[in-house]
Amino acid sequence: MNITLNRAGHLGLLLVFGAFVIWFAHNAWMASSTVINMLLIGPTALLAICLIGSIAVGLVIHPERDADHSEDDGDGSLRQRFGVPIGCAALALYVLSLGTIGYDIAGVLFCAATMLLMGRRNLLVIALYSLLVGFGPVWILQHPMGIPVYSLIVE
Amino acid sequence: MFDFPAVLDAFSSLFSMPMAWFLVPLGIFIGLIFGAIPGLSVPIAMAIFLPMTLYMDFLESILFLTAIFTGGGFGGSIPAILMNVPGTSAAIATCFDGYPMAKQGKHNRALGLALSASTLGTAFGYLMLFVILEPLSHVVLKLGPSELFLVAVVGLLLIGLMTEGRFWRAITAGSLGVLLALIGMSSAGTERGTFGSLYLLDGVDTNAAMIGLFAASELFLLVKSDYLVQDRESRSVSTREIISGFFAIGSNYRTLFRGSVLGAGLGVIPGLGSSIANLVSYSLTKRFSKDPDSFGKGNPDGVVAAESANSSSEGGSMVGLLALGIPSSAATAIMLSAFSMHNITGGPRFISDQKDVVYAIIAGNLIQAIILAVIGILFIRFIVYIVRVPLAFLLPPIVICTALGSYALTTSISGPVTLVVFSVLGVLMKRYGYSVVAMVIGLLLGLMMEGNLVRTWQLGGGSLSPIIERPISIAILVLIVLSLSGAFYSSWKRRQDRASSALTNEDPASRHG
Repeated sequence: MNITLNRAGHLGLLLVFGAFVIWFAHNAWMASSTVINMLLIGPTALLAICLIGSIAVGLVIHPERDADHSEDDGDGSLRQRFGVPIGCAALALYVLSLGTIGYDIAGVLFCAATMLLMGRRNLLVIALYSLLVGFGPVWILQHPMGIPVYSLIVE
Repeated sequence: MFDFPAVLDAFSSLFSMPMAWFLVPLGIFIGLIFGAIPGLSVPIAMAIFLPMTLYMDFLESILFLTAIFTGGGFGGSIPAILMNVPGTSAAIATCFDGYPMAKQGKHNRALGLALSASTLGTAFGYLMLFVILEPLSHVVLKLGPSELFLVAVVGLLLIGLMTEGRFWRAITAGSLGVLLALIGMSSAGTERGTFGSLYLLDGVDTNAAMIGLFAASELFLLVKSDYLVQDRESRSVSTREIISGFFAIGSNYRTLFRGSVLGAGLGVIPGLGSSIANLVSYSLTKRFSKDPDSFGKGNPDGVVAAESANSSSEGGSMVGLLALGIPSSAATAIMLSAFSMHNITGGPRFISDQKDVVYAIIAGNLIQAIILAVIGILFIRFIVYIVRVPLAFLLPPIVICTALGSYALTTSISGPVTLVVFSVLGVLMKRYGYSVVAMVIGLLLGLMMEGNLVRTWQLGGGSLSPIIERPISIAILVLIVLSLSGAFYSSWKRRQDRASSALTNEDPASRHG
């Protein structure tokens, strides 16, 4: 990642932080503007906004203060270059699919996809292991722990 | 001060209950499992097994629950050391040096050290409980809301001070954590930042958020690696090294003592306990060390400081339960349920009337510490094989267990969704140098800070004057100012030294040229 893109990402994160602080303080104020309600929220939000603003200004003036050096891309493979964002996206997809295809099937698919991403190519091993990892924890939650879990196959 | 006949009665009742000595190892084993799996926690284990205690005697039930507590205290350090994912919030500081040790192939030694620090810390906490139970219960009653608020502020500042050169970014993260903790329905019934969602009425699920923030930043980075420990030679599993690590505690006795005292003392304070004790102990150990730069890079003292403090805080947290009838943590709150299930109420009267039972609980826990050492070594022996498992096989079940663990806490999709949101946030924060630890501490303490600040305001008749009027508050304020000044001065001095040494090392020719 080059320094300009890196800094843009950092400023973007600060923008998200700042937007959250302002939105939350405004929301709390609109809900109740009493001292009791704003006693901690007000000063904390003010402190956070001041710090976020100072860090952003500091970044613009002193680019060298930015994040650490970019990470090594290793052998340049897909896993090395985009492993982290793909991992984040896979987790998000897994969680979003839990309520639709069931916790058991979602677990099986997530496990298989992660193993493929990490370089495993033996399909039989992937299939057997994914079934174990997908179904096992769901069964443990449902039976010994007695927690209701939405599942398609494990009962 | 000591009632020796009551002590003798305690031991005789302990050894007349063979069932207790079956339940205690079982409880320790359950605690180890629940502590070692990120997403699950000691309070979950205690809550699940609480109904079982209905069929036990009172003493057996308390020993069983404290055994889960003790086992979980150490269990949380296992994923902290092997994967940089704290099994519980009490093991946050264990990650700082435990994981670097594991990456250097010293995982056997780190786990052995953590086990001995946990064992001795637990024993120390209960010994201290035995000695100071009565006098300390009077002191705790004197801590008002202003003091509790300031102690939480100290917790946040300590995190900032521990992040070298990124103090303000850590304070920003801590402030954001506090604000995130305030999402939901306030104690006055005001809805804040819930988007009208029922899931957010109780606030952000701190357990899911904590696992997301910590787990993501490491687990996603691990996608790029093949093994937890890259060097093949370092992936050894050695009982001898685990045992040698266990006995190496002798060279860390000062850290062990300091951590145990701090843990036991802070464990008494409601709402703080082990999650703050391990951080305070770690930062003080680093501050007083002759080689502070080695911390965070695999210094065994860091592991001992964190583990001794979080384990001894268990004894401290029992002070509130036994002496005041007030639980100081989720785990002691569940124990209080066991008290009421057996029609027993904790408090000063319980201590004076049933001294033999109190002493039996303390003595039983001292024996538990020894049992933990034995079971712990056997448990480590098997779990340390994790370093030999390819990450392609290890990562999917860990991620699935954390997602399902966060689901189990809420039995709704809000847990896994919180996990994802905070996972992505954790990756970004780590990328840009914001302390995820500070955000977690803010999340854990935010509600408690607000409650105590509001009570201070009400006690001050519409002002925060109690903060500057009460002697203990003033003492904590002075401590905050002194530690901040000290930290800024030493950071300024370090910068000056670095600048002057850079000037000295500069090539004279280029200076003149």
